[in-house]
Amino acid sequence: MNPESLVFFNLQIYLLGFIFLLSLNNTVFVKTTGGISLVISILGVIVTSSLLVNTPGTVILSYDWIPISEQPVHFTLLINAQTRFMLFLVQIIACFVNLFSFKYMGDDPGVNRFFAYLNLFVFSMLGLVLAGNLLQLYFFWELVGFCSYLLIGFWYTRKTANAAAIKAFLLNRIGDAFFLAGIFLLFYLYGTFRFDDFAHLPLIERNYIYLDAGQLQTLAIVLLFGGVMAKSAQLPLQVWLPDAMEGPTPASALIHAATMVVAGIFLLGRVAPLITPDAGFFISLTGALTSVMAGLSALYQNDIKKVLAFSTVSQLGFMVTGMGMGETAASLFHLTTHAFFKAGLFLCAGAVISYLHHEQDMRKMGDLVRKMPAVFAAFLLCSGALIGLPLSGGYLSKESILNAAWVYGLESAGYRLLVPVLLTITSFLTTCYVVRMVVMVFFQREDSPVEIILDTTKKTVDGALKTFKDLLTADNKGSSGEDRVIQFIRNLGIYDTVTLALAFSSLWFFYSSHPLHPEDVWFFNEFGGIKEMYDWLPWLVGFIFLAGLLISYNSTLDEIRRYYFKEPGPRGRFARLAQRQFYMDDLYERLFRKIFTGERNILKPVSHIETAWIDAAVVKAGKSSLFFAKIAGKLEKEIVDASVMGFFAMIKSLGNQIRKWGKGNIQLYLLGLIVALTALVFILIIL
Amino acid sequence: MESGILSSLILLPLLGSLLILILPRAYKTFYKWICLITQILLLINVMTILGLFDRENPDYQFIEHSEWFRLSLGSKSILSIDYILGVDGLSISMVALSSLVFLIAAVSSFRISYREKTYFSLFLLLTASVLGCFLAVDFFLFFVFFEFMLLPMYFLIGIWGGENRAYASLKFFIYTFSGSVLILVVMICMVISNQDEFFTSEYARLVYSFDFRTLKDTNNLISSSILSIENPVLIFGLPAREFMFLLLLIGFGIKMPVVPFHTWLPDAHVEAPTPVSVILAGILLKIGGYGILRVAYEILPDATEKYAVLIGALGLVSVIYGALNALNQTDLKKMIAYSSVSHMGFVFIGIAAFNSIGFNGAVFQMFSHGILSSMLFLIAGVIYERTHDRNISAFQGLAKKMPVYTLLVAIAFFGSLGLPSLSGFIGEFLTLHGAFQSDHLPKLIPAFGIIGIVLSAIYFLLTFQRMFFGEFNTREEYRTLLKDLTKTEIFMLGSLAVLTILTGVWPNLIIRYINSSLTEILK
Repeated sequence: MNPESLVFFNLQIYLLGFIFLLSLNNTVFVKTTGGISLVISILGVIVTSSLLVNTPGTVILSYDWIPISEQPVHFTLLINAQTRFMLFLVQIIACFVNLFSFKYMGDDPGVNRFFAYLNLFVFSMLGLVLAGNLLQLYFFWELVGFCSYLLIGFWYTRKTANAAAIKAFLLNRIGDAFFLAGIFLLFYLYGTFRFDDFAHLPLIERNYIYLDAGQLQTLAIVLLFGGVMAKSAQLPLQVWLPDAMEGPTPASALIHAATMVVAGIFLLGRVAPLITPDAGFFISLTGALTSVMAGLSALYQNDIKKVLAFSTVSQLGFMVTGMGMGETAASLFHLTTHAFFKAGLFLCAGAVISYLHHEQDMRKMGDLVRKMPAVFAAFLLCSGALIGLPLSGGYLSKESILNAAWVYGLESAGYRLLVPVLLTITSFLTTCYVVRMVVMVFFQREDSPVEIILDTTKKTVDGALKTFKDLLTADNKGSSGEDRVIQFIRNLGIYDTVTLALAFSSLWFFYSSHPLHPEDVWFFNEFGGIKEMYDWLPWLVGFIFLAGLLISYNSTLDEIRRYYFKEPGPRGRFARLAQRQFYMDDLYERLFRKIFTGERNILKPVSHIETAWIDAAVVKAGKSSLFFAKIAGKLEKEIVDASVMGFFAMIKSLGNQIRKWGKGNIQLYLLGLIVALTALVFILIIL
Repeated sequence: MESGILSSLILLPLLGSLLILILPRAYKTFYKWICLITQILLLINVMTILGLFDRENPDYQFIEHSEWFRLSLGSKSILSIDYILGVDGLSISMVALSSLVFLIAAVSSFRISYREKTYFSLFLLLTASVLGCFLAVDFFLFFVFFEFMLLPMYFLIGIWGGENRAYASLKFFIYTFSGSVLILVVMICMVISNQDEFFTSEYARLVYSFDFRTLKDTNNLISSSILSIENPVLIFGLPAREFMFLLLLIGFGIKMPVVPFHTWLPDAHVEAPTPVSVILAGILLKIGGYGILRVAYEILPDATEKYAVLIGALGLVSVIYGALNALNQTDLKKMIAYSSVSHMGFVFIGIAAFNSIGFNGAVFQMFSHGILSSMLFLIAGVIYERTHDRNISAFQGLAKKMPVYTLLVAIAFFGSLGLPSLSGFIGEFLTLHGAFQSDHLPKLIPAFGIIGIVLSAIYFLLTFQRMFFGEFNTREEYRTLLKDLTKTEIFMLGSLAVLTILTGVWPNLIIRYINSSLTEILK
């Protein structure tokens, strides 16, 4: 098949899947939706793989879309290296998430809606990835935001979920407003929306006022970056992402960790040739600041999903920084590894939460290392990748961004040095919160609260655990070792399989032939290599890791101890500040309230204008017409009517006068008659 | 080619109206069917026209031209008033929209349960005059239809409206009537400033023609007349052409409605019965935008372009001010009415751009708003007919009880707030894009116009959340009344929803009809 039909087939199956699954609402087939969706996603992966194999180089497909005569906008599909890996990435993770949700969401009454939304999301995300021009990208950009809105508010009877959904949509809308302005400005400068034109088309010659063309381009990129701030949760619009964890965990894994939130990075990659040095510095500084702030917030969270959410924000900051520095390859590479290990972490968290009957507080967990060994193993591998330990994909990608940052900072010393310093601080913070999370969730505790929470245990996990133990103790009575391995695999639940698969995908061998040298990563062959490698960097990172490990391990144990004995901790104001995102969230909420619902809100004057000015003016105009009518009435009565009446009165008095004459004097009458007659005759004769 | 197909669009509803008037009351169940069948026939005719329409040809097509009357003004001149119908890209989009919306409104009118005879005959009369207004190529004919529309509308609101209907219908009438007076003044001035060259030579007398094609040709301008370009006559210190344009702007601005001439709209909408609201928002508002393009811009292009900033600013104020007012409402129908003001503001922004992107965007936005606002008013009608309550706060958690309704409301709301893949987005995008690329407007107007998009998201989302999410919770007596949609309602809302999605995904569907005409108008 040619690439055209493959791409469209790929898009169609998800869209049709969405419609079909939604139409199953309230039917007996609701339970089967997970299976149908799984089939669709596997089909999608197969089709994409064949597309990847069959279309080398850059393919551009173009169709009539908005055929306005001067500047028609075409529906363009752009398939190049950046498209290809994202196409595959989105679908493979969607496939894993689908499998996971098959079990996780299986008992929910609205399960068909969940899978329908998931399919719509994958469709929109693929559209975004394939988009060949900015308008189209914006089109699907909003659609993925809409899917995120739907999935955050999936449990629509929950108040918190609704609030989070609206917050996500509105903050994204604000970002999109900037994005849209940026699109207009870029069109104004280049006369096109298409990505493939930006690289080679010159700026339109015009008399620009206020700013010159270069500055306007910087402005345009900064405006575009406004959209990225919202979608990829960068300062100051990042507050929606932690709240978005109200949605089902698999959705968080797919949308709010692995794929949708990286759309911003993807966009920056698409417009990379346009990013001016000034805009680049702004972008990378924002990214670096975000990553530090989110890292600090993650350190003080107690909800496991919130920790992961903040860690996502922090890692997105890394990628954004990479893009700002012009390191497209490193950034996209980190995007890929992050997608796998973060999705893995989220799904592990989902397994844990489901195992603990929807308990999300990490302080109440612990001891799970023996209860869920497979999940633990997966979690450990993914965490290693998140910290950036050697042998993981995360090591390679993070190293390359950090390295690029140091190159960027040291190239021209000065204020640029801020970026690598901030990123290094972030990697220390990352180690701290990851160690804290692992210790809190999985490590043994003397007084295990888990037993209290649990009343039943999941059979598959338990069975797997038992076999695993038997395997470890090499108890060979009865059956051979091979049988035991088979049995272990058989007993592996869906959760274990999925999380382990994702964990293995975040190891180095998918990305590079050498576990320690980022130069060998195929991303750099595809998108351009690294400028320079610092040898001291791995040592610095290793030192940071060890320091973080030691500090965090001890302090976490301390924290848990204090939690059990209900001791008031020495947690200062800073901790509270960090936990609540430095009160940015509250600030926005208060601002929103103040503007729209508060005592002196903006709507009151508006309604005042509406009723007291405009409507009143209309009424006044109506009344004034009444006034004129009165004048007219007066005129009518006193002048027109009066004159008529006066005339009437005159006639009357004349009549009276004449009546006076008529007093029965017949002779006089006769005389008059004769005079009149003769006069008449005379007149007749004369004429 | 004189096929008479355009005349049939006007004659059919007139005949239907007559038939309803003749038919005795004993057959009153037939009235609504006559009305519906007429609308279906009209839609078939419109579809035929769409099929035969040459999309590349920017001029009027299917022209029907016959003399109506000639008025001799002394021995020197003749007033020639003709019956000319024709469609170009601009009017065909509006005709198609009207025919669709009228069909939906006719279905929705099945619920009318008293004085059916008057209702349905007025309804068909309204259909005829609206279609006539879009089809007329003669200014006089246009004006006659334009004026005549008020009459059935006044009665439809005044008789079948809500409690405060008398006030609302009167306000509507006075507002729009004063608008038409201004247009009348302009019409007279325009006509006496233009001579029809062809007829002038034939009759050897000066012929004043009302034909739009004559009026827009500046060669026909009499050099000493009031509208002449070379020797401008000053009225209140303004050149006459500009003054005439301002009169038109107010006249059509009231119809549109644009802030500050909009206050009739919320009242009229709140009081009008559902089908009339649908027609009012879906079609009648579009005549304002249509008039600006057809009359003001085609005949007075220089004056119109000169006031681009004014038009854009009026549009911008409408967008923001309408949205803020919508945020302020507790009544669902009022909220929707103000959202109409806000969305029609985009039409003005698009027109003010004076490039083909903006014009296409403006007409697309009119079409899209026609569909979406019809949906929104039907949605308000669904709730009102069940409970006789329109307060947003009276309902909560409807999603669980009325899933199909929720889905369709979601399409309408998200379409209105400009979610891509639904038609609202394309209209808003194109108008703002056109305005941004335009040389006539400061960039601030589209930049602030974008704020309107954010605001519309706020009020639609908040309303959606309040009414549909959370646990099901309303007053006790509403619980049994709130049932999911009937089949008719699903048909009405569903077909409109399909249209929004179709035009939103593939805007070409509309733009290929309107593009060449709008580009021609710009020249």
